[in-house]
Amino acid sequence: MWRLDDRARSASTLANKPRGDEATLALRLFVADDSTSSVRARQQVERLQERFDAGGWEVQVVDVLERPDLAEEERVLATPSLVRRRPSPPRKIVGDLSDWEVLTAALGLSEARDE
Amino acid sequence: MSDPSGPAAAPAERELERQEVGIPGFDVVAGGGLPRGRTTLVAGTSGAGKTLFGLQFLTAGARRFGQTGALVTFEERPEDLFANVESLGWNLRGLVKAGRLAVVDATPGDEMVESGRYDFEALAARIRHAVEKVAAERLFIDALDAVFAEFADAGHVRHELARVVRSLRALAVTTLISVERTEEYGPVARRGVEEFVADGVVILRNALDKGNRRRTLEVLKLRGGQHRKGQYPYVIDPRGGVEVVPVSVIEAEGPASCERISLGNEGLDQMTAGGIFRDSLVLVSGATGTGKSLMAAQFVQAGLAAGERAILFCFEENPAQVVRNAASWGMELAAARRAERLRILARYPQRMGLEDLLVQIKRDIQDFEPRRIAVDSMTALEHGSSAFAFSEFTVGLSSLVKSAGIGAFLTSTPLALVGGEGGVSGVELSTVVDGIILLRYLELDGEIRRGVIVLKLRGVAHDRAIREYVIDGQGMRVLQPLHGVTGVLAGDAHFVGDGHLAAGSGERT
Repeated sequence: MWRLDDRARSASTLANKPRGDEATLALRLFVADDSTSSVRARQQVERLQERFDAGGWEVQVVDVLERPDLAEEERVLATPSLVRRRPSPPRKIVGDLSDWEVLTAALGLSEARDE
Repeated sequence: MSDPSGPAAAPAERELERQEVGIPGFDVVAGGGLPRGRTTLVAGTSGAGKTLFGLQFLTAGARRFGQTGALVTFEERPEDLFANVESLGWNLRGLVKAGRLAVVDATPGDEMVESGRYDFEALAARIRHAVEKVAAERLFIDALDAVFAEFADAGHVRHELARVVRSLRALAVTTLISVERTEEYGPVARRGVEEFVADGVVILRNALDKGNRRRTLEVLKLRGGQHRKGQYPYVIDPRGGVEVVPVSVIEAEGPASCERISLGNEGLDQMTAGGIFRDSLVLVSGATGTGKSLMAAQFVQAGLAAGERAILFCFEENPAQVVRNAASWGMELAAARRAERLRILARYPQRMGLEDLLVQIKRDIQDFEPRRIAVDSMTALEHGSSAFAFSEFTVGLSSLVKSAGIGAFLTSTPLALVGGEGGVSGVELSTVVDGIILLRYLELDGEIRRGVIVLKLRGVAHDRAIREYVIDGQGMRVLQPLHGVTGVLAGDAHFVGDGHLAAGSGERT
């Protein structure tokens, strides 16, 4: 079961304990409205959640046009930008995330964990 | 010489309103300032002062025009930028706190990986946000080209940056973007950035000239109006920031003074029919030992005697030597120095460029407010600088003293010891000054004699004769004209006819 919405951290998310061998991932996807690359990036993140998330992830989608202050906070220049906030160190993946291998590697996710 | 302003070469464009920047001298060169609400590029090699220029643009906006601003920085962290200009007295941190400056920290952050297509909408959104937050009227984007280092596809970066820059137009903020160049006389900027910043280009150069860094500013283009062409020297003054010289010291001159001031010597005052005009520049040219420094000291002392403050700028000796020498000619300067009515300022032009020196002199004059100055010697400045730089300095000095209504006495040394070309050093100097006095050794009858002549003195019916003079413990005494002598200026003094003058004969009647 996955969800891809703006949502603040909620008790229910934390209550879903992650699988033992899966790292808790906190992601923030910065997009610009519904540009082609933004839509594509959203789709890729959804795919990621389908494949890897068993409820232990925290995913936020931020539209920079609505929340430029958050973009400033994270020092995001490009859209889309996927920021991995946890685990440390923070990482940024820039682009529509179309390259699956690069995406999963950058997030430290291995296909071997795929169900 | 710098270009006089004239019609722009481009066909007449609709006049765009100009935003006065507030950087000394720049607005004159730029024909009023930057195009309001448009984007201008400032390009320069590393160390040319682009970042300083941009920060000064913001600071001047806040201080002089009460305008808020926004800063976008790609290379240096905001804290570093603030710290760098603290010594100039610019409190950018304070402006941020007061809500008068918004900052976008666009420096590289976390480790980054690329995967697919992207644009710079986030950057654009952040800039808009900053501008709107403080209702900024000025925007400075520093080191825009640094972003190329973070992304792989330069062509794509350029394309997307161009979109961002174009989108800024809607904000109608007067924008300055700084970019780096690698060559002083090569392409405008790296990566072809200049192609999408279309409204204006300013180039800051920092070239080596005879071992000195010579900084020049050139307004390559500014849309919608006139601007001066060519390169203008600028300095980075540790107390004020960027200053375009000598444009910054050339101010509208008021009516010329009719008041006369004494040269400090009765004989010379008589040769000049009453002294020189209050706001004139007079040059004395003579070989070593002819008495130029003595005349400079006399001039200064005349001012002190009239109750005026004076500055003696020395470029060859130190103040103690100057005081001692003056004492040997019967002039006591030490007391006036102690009483702070006279300043003897030794400056070292080898250590600073002539533009920096001019700005320093301007400050010295502003701080002390003398009514007359002496410069001993101009020749020391001519050595080790290009003819162009020296000429610019001379023009700048002339404008500086005239606009302040100060009388200036300059000394210089011609190349030859005896006679010589009869000229002074450099064509420009002799045309800039209002008066020229020559001191020459004359070899007559196996003796070395001294002759003084007022070669030119604008607006005065001066003595045309060559007079003999002597120097002793009472200073300089001007004697009778040397009749029957010809060829002094040509360097070949000799008597004509059978006239003959005994040494030191005849006091002036």
